[in-house]
Amino acid sequence: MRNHPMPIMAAAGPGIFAPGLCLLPHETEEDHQDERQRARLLVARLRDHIARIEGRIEGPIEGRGGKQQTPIFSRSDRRAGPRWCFGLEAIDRNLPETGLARAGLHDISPHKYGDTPAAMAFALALAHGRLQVTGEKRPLLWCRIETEVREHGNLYGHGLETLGLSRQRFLTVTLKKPVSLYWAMEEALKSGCLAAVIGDAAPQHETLTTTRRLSLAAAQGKSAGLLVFIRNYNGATSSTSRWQVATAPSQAPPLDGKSPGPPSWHLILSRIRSGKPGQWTVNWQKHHATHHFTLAPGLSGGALYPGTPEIAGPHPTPEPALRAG
Amino acid sequence: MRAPTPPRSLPFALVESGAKGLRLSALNQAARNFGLMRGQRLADARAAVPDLLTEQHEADKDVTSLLGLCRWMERYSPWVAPDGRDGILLDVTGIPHLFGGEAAMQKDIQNKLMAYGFSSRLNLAETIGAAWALARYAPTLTPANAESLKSLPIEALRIDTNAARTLRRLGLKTIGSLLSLPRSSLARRFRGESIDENVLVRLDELQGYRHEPLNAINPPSSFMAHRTLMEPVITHEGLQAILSALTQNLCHDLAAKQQGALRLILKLFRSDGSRTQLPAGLSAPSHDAGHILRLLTPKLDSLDAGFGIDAMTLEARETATMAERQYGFADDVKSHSPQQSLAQLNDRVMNRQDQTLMQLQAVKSHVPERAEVAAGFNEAAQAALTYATQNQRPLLVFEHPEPAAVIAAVPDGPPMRLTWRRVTRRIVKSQGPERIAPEWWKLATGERPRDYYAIEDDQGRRYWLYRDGLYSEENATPPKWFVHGLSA
Repeated sequence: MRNHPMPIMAAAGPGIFAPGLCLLPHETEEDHQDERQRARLLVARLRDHIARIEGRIEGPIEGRGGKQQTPIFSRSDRRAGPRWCFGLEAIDRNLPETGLARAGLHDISPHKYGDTPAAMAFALALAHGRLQVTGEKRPLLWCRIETEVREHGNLYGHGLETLGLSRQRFLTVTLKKPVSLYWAMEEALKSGCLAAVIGDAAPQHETLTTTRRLSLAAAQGKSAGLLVFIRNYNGATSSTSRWQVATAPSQAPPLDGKSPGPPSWHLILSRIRSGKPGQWTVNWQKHHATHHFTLAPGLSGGALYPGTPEIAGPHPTPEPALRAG
Repeated sequence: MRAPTPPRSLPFALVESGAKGLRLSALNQAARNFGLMRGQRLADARAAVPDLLTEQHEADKDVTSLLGLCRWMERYSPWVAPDGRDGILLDVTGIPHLFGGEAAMQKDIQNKLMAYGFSSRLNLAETIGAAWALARYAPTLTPANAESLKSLPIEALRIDTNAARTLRRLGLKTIGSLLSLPRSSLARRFRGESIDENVLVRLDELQGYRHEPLNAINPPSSFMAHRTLMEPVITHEGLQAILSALTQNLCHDLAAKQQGALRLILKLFRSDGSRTQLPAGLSAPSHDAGHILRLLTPKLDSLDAGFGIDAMTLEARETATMAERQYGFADDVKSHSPQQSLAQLNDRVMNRQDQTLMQLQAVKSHVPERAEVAAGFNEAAQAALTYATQNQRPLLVFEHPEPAAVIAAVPDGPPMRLTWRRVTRRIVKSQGPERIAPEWWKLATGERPRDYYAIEDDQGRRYWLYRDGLYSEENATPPKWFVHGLSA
């Protein structure tokens, strides 16, 4: 505690206690030197403080009144196993240093009505990544809502298996009302017995308060919450990342020109805490044993978000929906 | 529930139709004062008392009302049974001291019943027979000793009218006179088939020589916690505090016996004599007070407390043995295994939302909709069957395949254009057909072979559809198309 005095206190100290003593008639060169030295020190300490909050370096964080603050990214997040990411350099570059928040909330919305199955599959692909984190033994729960089940059908275990998810680690529950769904999701996240909880989210019931509750519950239970919106939603949520999914025509497998290839999605990462937004067109290699993403060739160069230095080729026009996290 | 009752001062009777017209089945004190009797014909009664008020007797409502009263009586003893059409039996072994002694308890019951508008007679004895006799043929608080029993009339033996009449004709008018006779002569004279005719059996039951079981309506659980309150409680906070204390007590008892509750019932006795109960189920045995409290507390929200709750009972109706768990050094005392906390989560969802966590379980079947069942999460954990299909399957499957209009280049070729949910899509890629024949060994009639196609439209959206039936079938309706699932 003593080794890391609070930077704000350090700056305020002389201001409060010194005036009575510092009754010098004019400033000297030494004073200027001192001032600069102090300012440099202050900036360095503030940087250090921010780094601690972001979890980039270890150490206690002092908050107001000498209380310890918890970092935004819990330290256990970085210690246990590899980061939760895509295994695709182009995308992972835009994610924060610690990967996607393992104990945080993530939004996924379809670009249009018909993209909902793709959004759901993307959520499962993300959750699949979450289950791969080393030492993770907990299962996955999908809270479904009755109207959505009627609209888009039941989740199918054999289909999940082709996506690479074991049915032993998959649980589902169907609820009648959105209110019940949020209650169930919160309880599930809080219980800490699930690696990830996915939920069908109805935008009209989505408020900052409900999502804030969910993200607090996720942090408490150290599980990831994924909200799959029924339709495209741009309102305020307290999620750490926000994705939008649209389907794209797939590339036919090399030996059969007429049959559908691996699913191809256009992903827009419109908001990410401590990362950079971006958009990509990827293929989900669900038939491979590894179930990984690949960039769709031919489109990848152009589809990368501007601002990354490796880009060669025309810059795409940034969409108005994009916002810096 | 109660119809407006006529004033007590007016003669009033309930009538029921018998073999020879209407007869009085029950009367009030005013009617009895006029000399009317139970079993009298209504015509005779009307002749004697022209302004007699009558009402049809509804026997089935009597039964429900008596059962309701039995449930109310559970506040005094857990072992309560209805007796005939107008009696209640309570086993109060080891109970009266809780209510301040036998006399105080009887007084309390009588006062409460009187407050609800019931006139009652009650007495206490060592055997069911003696208690029955004393309650009906002796004043309240008669001590149950040999003298008081001997002076009771013959009818107090619970024998039918024929047997009683025979005994009276023989000059045997009290139980005492019957007891002075030798057993063998009684046994010779009364060898009735039914128990009501067998005087000796009834006599033995009265004296306790022969055991008579008491079948309680709700046999009490071996694990229960009860609390009677001084004042009725109506606030949520108050009830919650009592519930918390009850849960602690119950869980302490359960833990001492290494048992865990599977099914719980919280009984709440309202001050107006009615009772309500809140059930709760658990998917895995537990004696964790915090968990049980979390299941029951939300149920208090929708509770109708009436004029207040003045007694509460928490029972563990079903229990199972729980192995003692050793917690590690590093573990928090309250920490649970993932399986345990998953069961607790399931309990909370089940009790609050009436839904259970489901696991998708594979079934050996070729037909896609039969290849999988959603099983409750506990059952699934026991029978984890792995059976994977080699073929591509969609992520989402409709419960009922949705009819669609399809245009194909050749009749049994892949689809070119799909109209589903009133939107037409141009199909650019398709894979199939995958032919799935009906399972002839299952006696499902009317099923036709299906040709499944996995298709992709020009926007990259994927559907899983099938053609129901074949063009080559003879004398059959032309095949129809259905969308069965959606894929990413």
